[in-house]
Amino acid sequence: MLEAVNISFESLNMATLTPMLVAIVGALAILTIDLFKEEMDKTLYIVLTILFLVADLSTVLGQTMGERGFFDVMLIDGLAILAQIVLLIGSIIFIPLAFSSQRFHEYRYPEFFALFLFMTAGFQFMVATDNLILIFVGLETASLALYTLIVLHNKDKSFEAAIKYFTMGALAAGFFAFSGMIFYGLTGSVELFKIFEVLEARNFEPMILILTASVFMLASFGFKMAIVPFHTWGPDVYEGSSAALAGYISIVPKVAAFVVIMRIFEGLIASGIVWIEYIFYAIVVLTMTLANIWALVQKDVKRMLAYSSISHAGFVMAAIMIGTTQANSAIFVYWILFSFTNLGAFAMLWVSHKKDSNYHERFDHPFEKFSGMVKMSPLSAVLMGLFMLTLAGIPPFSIFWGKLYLVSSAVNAGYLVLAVIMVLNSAIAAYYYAKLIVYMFMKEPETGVDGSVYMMNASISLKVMLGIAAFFTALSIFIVNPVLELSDFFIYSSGF
Amino acid sequence: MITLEHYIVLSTILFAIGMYGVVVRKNLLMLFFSTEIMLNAVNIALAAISNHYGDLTGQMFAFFIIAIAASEVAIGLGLLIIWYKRHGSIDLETLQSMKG
Amino acid sequence: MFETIAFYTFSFLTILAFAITVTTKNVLYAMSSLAGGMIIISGMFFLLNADFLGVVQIIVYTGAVIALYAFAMIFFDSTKDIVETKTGKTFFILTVLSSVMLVLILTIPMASGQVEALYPIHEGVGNAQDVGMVLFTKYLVPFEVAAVMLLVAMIGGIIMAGKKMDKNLTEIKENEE
Repeated sequence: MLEAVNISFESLNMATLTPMLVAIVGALAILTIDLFKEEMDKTLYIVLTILFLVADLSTVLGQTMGERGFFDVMLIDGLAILAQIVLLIGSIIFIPLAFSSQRFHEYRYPEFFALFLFMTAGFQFMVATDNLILIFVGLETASLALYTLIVLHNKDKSFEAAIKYFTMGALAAGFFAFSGMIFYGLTGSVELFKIFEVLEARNFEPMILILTASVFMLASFGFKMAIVPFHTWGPDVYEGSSAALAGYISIVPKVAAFVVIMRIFEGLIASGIVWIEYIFYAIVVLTMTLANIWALVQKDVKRMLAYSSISHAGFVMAAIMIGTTQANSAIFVYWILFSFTNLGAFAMLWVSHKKDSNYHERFDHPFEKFSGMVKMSPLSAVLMGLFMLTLAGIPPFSIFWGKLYLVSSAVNAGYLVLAVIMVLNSAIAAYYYAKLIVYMFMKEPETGVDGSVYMMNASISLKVMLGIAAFFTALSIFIVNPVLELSDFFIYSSGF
Repeated sequence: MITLEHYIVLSTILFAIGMYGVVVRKNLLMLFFSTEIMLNAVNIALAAISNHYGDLTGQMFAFFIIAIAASEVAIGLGLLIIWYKRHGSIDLETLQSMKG
Repeated sequence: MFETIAFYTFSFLTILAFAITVTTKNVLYAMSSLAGGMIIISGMFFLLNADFLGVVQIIVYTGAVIALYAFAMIFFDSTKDIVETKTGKTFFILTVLSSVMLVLILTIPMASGQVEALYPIHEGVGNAQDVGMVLFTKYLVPFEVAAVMLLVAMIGGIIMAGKKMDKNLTEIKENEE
């Protein structure tokens, strides 16, 4: 017979779990409200979601670093806290985009907001643990919710996008399980710190099995983050989902995936198995370069932005590969600055959403839609131009500082060739962002079009969000330093 | 004598069959079947390793994989039904409106 | 001896069943052989002293997953043969080659002699009891998150197949009902 176990409540360390619980309770509360009173206005749910996310964020800020809880499954280190902060701020700034002036199918469902909160909780579980099982379960919770959110847009294209995403996700789940199995077979544990302990004791032998496991793990997260060559679903999902959700997909899920990759590969790259680094190197260069080249030939602004965010993800993967503390800190600086700019760009597409789009038989946001925009709606054209210049990395706007920091960390770590490739890629990228600027500022408007379309879907809160995005983008020179210090503080103290 | 390697090789063969199915099959239902096979194959290896080390973690991992597979089916079938309602087909070739 | 016979029989049968699943043109054959393969895998679990896992495999896979697929079959026309376009030859050969390579790689012995079981299986204690002990202490949080995941899947499944999806508010005009 087994003996009964006695566990004191204190030993569980409830504080490690509180943030996720807040999100889950919020989701259940929304479902319950709908149960008692149907057909409530979406405003209530949006406000509730924001409130719960803010409460979630405040509990995250109250967490202390270096804690473990719930039988050491939960791990709250600096990385976990920083990632949760970025995740939650990303979610908080994207959900007000639901205050659109037009009706959309997804906002009719209270479940939309409940699933949104469940998804956030899933991502938080992914980053706040080093147990492969919890990473897997959190990842699937978040992904399953995300597929449903895409479908709820209820257009043919969104179903197609969701099916493609789902198929790739199922394949990625298989790969993750296989890779986890090999790690477990090698070390008898699914906890990352234990895995590395045993692998080190075995001198990283047998090398080929570790390499196989790494490749499968990389492929699995490559699918999740749309990294070349696993990116094929990416632009389709951006095109099929609403502009607001596409902006969200380009930011928040990727943060969670980056953190997991950092946790897993930091040790593996430093293990002395050179092939892992070579594979990483190849993937980074391919992601940055090919995504840029594909972005050049796109006819739709949303697809162009999709490829551009794949390319930006490549920059971050490069920083993970470099693996110095400076590079790891640069990831977060880069990504925080990128979030605000990308929020702005996608919100601009979102406010110009028009139901019966007659610009193009397939695309909602072709380049032609924006031709001569400055003559009809100067303010929006200037805003869009600002976001495009920023994405291109023109000083003194935000992403420039992220890129600068990233490239300097590459140079400091001795990756000179990589630094050159990064700079060259920024130069190529500038071309396609400039293409949109040329359309907006140089071309004549198409006949029979008035400027009202550019603010078609706007409402007060959407304009406020745009203002916030523009503010952080334009005046980033003042916020770069605090962001850098914050990121450095958390990364240094968690030892990455 | 059956060793751990026997089970792992069997599991890998089944995993490869699943992967082959994902690559070759164009019917979405068949594709989902293939991903189920992949997850199942991994479970065999996990149980075998768990038995070899005398450690329960592998069985735990297998449980969670089963739970994940079950919930993926619910979402996947929902997607298939909605697609079949609108298009009358569940072939991958019908998912071609977005390209490039 | 008994284990050897059982292992080879089960292996042969699962490989056969799954091979039928991925190659057949008929959906019903595919589903039946998938169900058969999954039940045989549960036999493998019993062989590996993972009784509880074996039972869960039968209940969840054949009882829930395959039953769900069977119900979904009502929607799709399953009497017709599936017509599919052929995959390109180079792609096909690449897949087969990489599969063979993967199997060869995995023949390398992976287990290490020094690994000490963190959550040991106890002698003389039922597998279900052992599993329960670990599942509700160490893996409590993943277990609860799995519950949330199942809830998410349920909500997702229900709203996707629901009636509200039939009319699309994204595409119809603002003032129409």
